[in-house]
Amino acid sequence: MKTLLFFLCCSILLISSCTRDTELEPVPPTAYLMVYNGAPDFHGINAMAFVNNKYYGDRTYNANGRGLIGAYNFSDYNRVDTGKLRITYTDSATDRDKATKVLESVLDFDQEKHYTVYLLDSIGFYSILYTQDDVERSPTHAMLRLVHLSPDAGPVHLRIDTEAVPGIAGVNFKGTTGYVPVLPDIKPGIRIMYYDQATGEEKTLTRKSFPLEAGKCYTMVLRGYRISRDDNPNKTINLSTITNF
Amino acid sequence: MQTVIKYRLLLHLLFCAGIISCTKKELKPEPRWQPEDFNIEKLNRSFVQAGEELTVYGNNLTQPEGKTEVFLNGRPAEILKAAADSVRVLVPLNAQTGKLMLTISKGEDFRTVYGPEVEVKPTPVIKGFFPFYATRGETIELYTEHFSYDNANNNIVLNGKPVEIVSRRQDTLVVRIPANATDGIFNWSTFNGPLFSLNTGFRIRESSYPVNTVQEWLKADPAFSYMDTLVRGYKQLVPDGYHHRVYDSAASYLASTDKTYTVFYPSDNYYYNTGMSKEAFLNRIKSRPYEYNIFLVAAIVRDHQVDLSTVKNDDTFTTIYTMKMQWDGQGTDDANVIRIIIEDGVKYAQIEGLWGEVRPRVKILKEHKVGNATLIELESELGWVSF
Repeated sequence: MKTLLFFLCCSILLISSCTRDTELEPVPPTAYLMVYNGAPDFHGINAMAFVNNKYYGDRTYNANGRGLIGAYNFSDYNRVDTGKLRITYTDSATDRDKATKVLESVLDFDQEKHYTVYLLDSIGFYSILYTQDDVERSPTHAMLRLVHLSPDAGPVHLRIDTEAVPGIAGVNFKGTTGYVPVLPDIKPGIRIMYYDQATGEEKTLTRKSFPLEAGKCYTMVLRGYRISRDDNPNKTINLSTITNF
Repeated sequence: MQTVIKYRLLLHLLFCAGIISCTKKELKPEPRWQPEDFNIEKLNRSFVQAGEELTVYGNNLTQPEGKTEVFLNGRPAEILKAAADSVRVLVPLNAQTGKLMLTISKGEDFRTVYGPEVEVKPTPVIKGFFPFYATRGETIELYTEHFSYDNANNNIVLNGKPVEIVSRRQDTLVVRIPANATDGIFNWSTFNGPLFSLNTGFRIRESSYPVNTVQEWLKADPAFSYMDTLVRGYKQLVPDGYHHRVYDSAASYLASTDKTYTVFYPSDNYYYNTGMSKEAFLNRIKSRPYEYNIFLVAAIVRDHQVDLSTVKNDDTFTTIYTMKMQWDGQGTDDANVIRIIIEDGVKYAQIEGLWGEVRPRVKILKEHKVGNATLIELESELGWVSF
């Protein structure tokens, strides 16, 4: 009987101990990606985004995955692998297998970092731009930056109401600024300014108003054409803002 | 006893199972697909244009399981022919200067190598030209974009015949219509790149047409398509017979082979310059029929075949537009006259009324002899002075 009990105990110990040695699959390294379409050519029609040839999502002009971006919208980050990834935008085909790539870029993604990839368009000449979005938040300030996707707008700078914002000035097409701390406000006038080439006079290119909250981080996207080729008002100059965090 | 044996057997089995199950599981990630090493050695050229072919040379550029793709500054290029040591691609439209990228992939796995930077010359464009017709040897303007500043790199042909670039003003090229040119379209290329074409046809004017009447000349000469429309289409455009009397007077000259006369009509350039489309012109005739029949007669000089080489300043010629014609047989035979003005060697025609009233003078461009008639080509409409 003792032998029986001995074998029984050994068996139970052996079986129960076995699970301890099993190694769980390690969590893969992860980065976070938001995909934005800033190409006016895609107004009202979808481009598809692929990551490493795998469908990521549809993006019409001025969409970031949460629908169209207005003056004040939220981010839409999704997990992706780290390292070098192929980011692809396609034409407006609806069949994923038949879509034609319009542009592809191989971009680097670091672990636990947040990125936004933008498709730009200058009268059919596409480009891809990407930003790394992480920034240390301030408990007393909002963090604000500008991404310039308007091909014919020329260099621009920012005023909040009448105050110039240092660090967001002389931004050209395809240019991005770093985050700049600005004072929170309920409804400030966010004015994208430029200097008239003929007269040198400072003029307002576009103006939006949205709340700036302390502790939050915003990306303003200047998009569209000053002079649209097809007179479509939806493709003319505008300012969208994504609340990244 | 048997029960004990069974238990022992069961326990031994359990023991063995425990030992077997204790084998340490090693979770290895699935080996990812990796293409063999590949590289780009060189390209067959350093600059390209959209529509041209570009060849990438290297090693292992195609692989059994992998898909090869080529991008020019991110823009995918269609692969025309692919082999391990070379890949020939078509430079896509709207490609931009940048690095060439070649990717070999299988599903989500891929490897990319970059080649040298390729300069993409902008696609040359002829946006339009003016005038839409010319005689051989004359010059016209081509409105272009992205042509080389070195004319040796630009190739323009009209219906296959090379066109000489005479001068350039920024993106406007002044070109000479070749001596052997025929009606057709312009084709062009730069840097021996692909050939482009413009849909709008160009018309060649002949110095002479085998016709017997001015009406036939207006139809044959591409410079008078507006006047041809007016002359041949007036009665269809203006069905009201009231207006036909004056029109018929003009038509009797324009279709005549035996009358001696001279006609002063504008060429199409006037209408193109003023932005008046054919459709707008037709609508004007329909809405103002009384203007356009007088317009026709007030420009016809009776009994005289004007010769520009012999006319003198202040010469005047009586037109067929009389008071009687305007008032349906009432009044006198007084008529509008056309006065020739020569200033700095340039000839002008000016219509003059009964009391010396004048309309603005109009520059004379050319003359064409048609049997007993002369057709004088004007820079704009001559007009008339009412009675």
